[in-house]
Parts: sequence; C-alpha cells; structure tokens
Amino acid sequence: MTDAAPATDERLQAMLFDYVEGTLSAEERAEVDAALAADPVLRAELEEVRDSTKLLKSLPPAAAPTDLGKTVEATIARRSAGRFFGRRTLGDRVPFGVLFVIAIIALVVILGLLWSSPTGSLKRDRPAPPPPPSEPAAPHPR
Amino acid sequence: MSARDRELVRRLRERDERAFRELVAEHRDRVYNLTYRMLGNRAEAEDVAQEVFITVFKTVDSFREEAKFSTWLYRVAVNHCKNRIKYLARRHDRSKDELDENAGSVAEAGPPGPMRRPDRAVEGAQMEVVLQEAINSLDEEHRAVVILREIEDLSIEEICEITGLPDGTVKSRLHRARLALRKKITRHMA
Repeated sequence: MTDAAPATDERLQAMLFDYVEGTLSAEERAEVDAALAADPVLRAELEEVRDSTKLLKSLPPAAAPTDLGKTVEATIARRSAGRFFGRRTLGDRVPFGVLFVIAIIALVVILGLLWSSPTGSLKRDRPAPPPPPSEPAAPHPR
Repeated sequence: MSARDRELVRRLRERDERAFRELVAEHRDRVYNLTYRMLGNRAEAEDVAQEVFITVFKTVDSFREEAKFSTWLYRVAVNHCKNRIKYLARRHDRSKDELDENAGSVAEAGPPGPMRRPDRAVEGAQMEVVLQEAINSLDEEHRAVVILREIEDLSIEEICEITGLPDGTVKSRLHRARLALRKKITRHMA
C-alpha cells in the first residue's frame, strides 16, 4: 500500500479493527483503552478509521448493465462456436459456417445434375414414343 | 452450502444453459459491484465480470462443495480483478480519469466547493468519485479486503476464505486500508 504506514504492529492493528467493530473481549478492550489513553496519535488514528468506515459504507452499489447476461452469452457463443453448453438443439450446436458450406455443396451438386441432364431438368428422360402403326397397304388397282 | 446452491452447481456441471442464465441473473449485481469498485472503470468491470462468469461455468467441476458457492464466486472474481489490475498497470493503461462517464460528468458539472463535513457530503457523486479514486490508490491486496468488507459486507471468516489469508492479517490490512483511505480523502478535501 502506498500511504498507510501507521506506526503500529499487526497485532495492535487487528485489535484496533476489532475495537472499532466492537468484537473485543473485555480484557482486550481494556488493553486497547489503555493504549488509547496513553497515545493521542492512536486516538486520532482511530477516529480517522471510523470516519473512513462510515464513508465506505455509504457508497452506492453499482448496478450491473441490464444486458450483462446477454453479453456474456454472446461472448461464449463467439468463443466456443456453440459448443459451450449441453442440451441444445441441433441448429444451435452446428456452427453456422458448416451449414453454409453444406448448402453451397448441395447447390453445386444440383447445378451439376441440371447441366448434365439432356432434358435440362431433374426429370428422367422420357422413353421414346412407340412408332405409329404402319397403315395397311392400299389395294393395287387392277 | 444451501440445497438451492447445490442444485444450481449440479445443473451447471451438466452444462445446463438455463442454469447459467440463473447464475448470471442472481449474482451479476454483486459481481459487477465488486469488479467496478476494484477496477474503478465500468468498461473494465463489465469485461472482468464476463470473464468471472465464464470461468465459473468452465471450472465449476473444480468447485469443492465445502465452502459456500458465493464464496467461491467471490474468490474467482477477486483473482480476476487482481490479474486485471496487474495487467493494466503493466500496460500503463490505467488513468485517474477512468471513472464512468456519469460520475465524470457529475464531477465536471460544477466546482466541488468546500466540504468541511465529508461524512454528510458523501451522498453526492463528487464524494463517490473521491472515494473511488482513494480506493484505486490502494494496492490490490488492500483494495480487495476493504471492498469485500465495507462494500460487499462480508464477514471476516468469508474474507479469510476468499483471500486465503489468516484472520489477523485480514484485520490488520483492513485497519491500514481504512486509515490510508481516510488520509487520502482528507488530503483531497484540503
């Protein structure tokens, strides 16, 4: 710490803390009272500590941004590509990039089939219609 | 640990997304308040709060159910804050003007004027700025204990569990931190 440095040892500092908090035993309290009576600097120090406590207790709580939860989830989704949580739907688990690549491949395959089809569609070639029945030969004129 | 916390931890271990949402909803204000007071900057506080929740979710398997869940959560949060403070100090990226825009704008709204009774004036945003600057001037160890005690209102036993420090050390640090804060505030008022 940069600025503390009271000229007291750790045990006395801990006792002074308990003194301010009111958690000392009667015997220890008498010991601190005696030290305070003999040392005006220590008395002033104690008042400063009490002031400080009051000021700190009066600090208002800082409320979290309301969208903190969503921000956290977005960060998780970004970092883990949807693999962070269990029990999610297929759409959530499969990364969007994979779906996009699959869609492109499917499109290429369909276009390839269309291009190679003689009919220009995905329908099968129709079988050739049967030849029309031959007409009966006209009788030869005699 | 309460039955509710135990159930939440069980669901978190199953990677239940709804449990994660409940965790964030229930603890976000306390975690954010801690990170904000530790870092003195809203953007940093939000970023670290995010990291705290992500770490908790990722490492919940390592949580031993001997302590309260909130104690473990605070420990994760304090460690993240200390790391961020060190990181920012290394990068010389911290400045004294990093209080949030609201507090800053209030501070700029007018001259602070004489404050002969700071205990009464603390309700004002200006005193909040002064107090936050005083907190920022403490090293991260003293900052952590004073925030856990005075702002988060935790018991000495809980602070010992969170920081891993013995009882006497926590108390003496609290005493020194309180004294240092008062001196800084007095100097600022003068």
